[in-house]
Amino acid sequence: MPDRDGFAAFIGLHTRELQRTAWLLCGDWQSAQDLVQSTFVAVWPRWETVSKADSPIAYVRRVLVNVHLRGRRRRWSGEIATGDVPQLAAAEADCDVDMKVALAAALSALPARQRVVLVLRYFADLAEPDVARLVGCSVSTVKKDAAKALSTLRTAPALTGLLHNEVL
Amino acid sequence: MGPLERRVSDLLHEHTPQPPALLTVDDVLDPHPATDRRARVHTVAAAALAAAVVLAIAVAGMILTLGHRPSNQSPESGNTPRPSSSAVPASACAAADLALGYGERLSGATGEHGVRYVLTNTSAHTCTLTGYPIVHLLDRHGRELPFRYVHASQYVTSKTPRTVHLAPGHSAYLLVAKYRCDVGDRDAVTTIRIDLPNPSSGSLAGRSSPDGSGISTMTYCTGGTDDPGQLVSVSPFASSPGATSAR
Repeated sequence: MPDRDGFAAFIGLHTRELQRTAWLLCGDWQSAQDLVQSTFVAVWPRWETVSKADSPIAYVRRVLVNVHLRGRRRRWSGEIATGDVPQLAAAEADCDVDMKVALAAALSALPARQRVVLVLRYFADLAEPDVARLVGCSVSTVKKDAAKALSTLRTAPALTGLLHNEVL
Repeated sequence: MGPLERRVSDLLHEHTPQPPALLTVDDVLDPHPATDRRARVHTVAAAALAAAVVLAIAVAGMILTLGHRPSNQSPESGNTPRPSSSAVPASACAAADLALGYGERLSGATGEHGVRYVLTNTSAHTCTLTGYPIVHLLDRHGRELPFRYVHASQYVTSKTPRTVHLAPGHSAYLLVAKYRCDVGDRDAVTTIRIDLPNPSSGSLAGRSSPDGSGISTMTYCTGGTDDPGQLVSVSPFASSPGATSAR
């Protein structure tokens, strides 16, 4: 039986970062939570091995990306998850809702892999070779995807005024 | 990193919201609140006690006359048949001995979709699994969906269950299949709970599908309780993946 306490400690340490990453990939908290939960469930049977790896979080991120991209390829990804409005309103009362909506809208315009590359590169702060390993593509593909994603964001109507003119 | 990259990085770091709730290990490995589970057990126990004589006669009659006639597993009805403690071998596997994994998904032209589950003995001793598991399919809120359960279908074997001896590290297999929703989907199944036949052996729970992000081939249909899509077929425990399937 894998070490439940160690797994619990890992979840406690990394779930916030993974849930935020998942939100950037999915665009809503319900899907993000499902994605992270599916990721942890997939990791649990192999936790004994994963926990001894040099970087367990790298492995878990890779599972998360795979689960996400697999889900996107399936026809059921047309489902739009919704939550209870009162809970969301209370939970998010202290965050910048306009900015969050703008960010989610801009990211939703990106193809799935470009979105993954952008999030891993500029939110998870991974180097291009690490992103390439996670996504399962070459470094040059990561560079191309990142460049295309940045180009799309630069012209995204939702982010007009947020990305300063001087960097355009 | 160029100025645009820096700006995007800042944007993502500064404006990605904090999660409204953080997942815990219990959400992952035991998605049912403890209080809910206790309430369920009490409800089932009370209902089972009250209806024990009637159910015993009914279930015995079904077994004798219809062979693999399905048993209704709905906890609301409280008539889930379980073998008595005395019928369970001393070395029966407990949930703590097992890890839940996933085999392949089945999706054919028959309209029936299935997921094969893998139960691996992670303990240091050999144990046995006998008969049928008691399956519960739950939605994203942990609510049980009132499917009807049967023990044979186009995909699922109708053969008599055989005891599976699980050496440490070895696996048993289980197939759960459901006919599609022709009328429409109502609730996606996200979680499966597998009760072992002996009530004291406990339950395993996990995502209902190996790769679904809260979305599954198994959905509760809009057509009411008589909708053919509410029919879920459950195989007995088997020693090989193929033995769970109808041939």
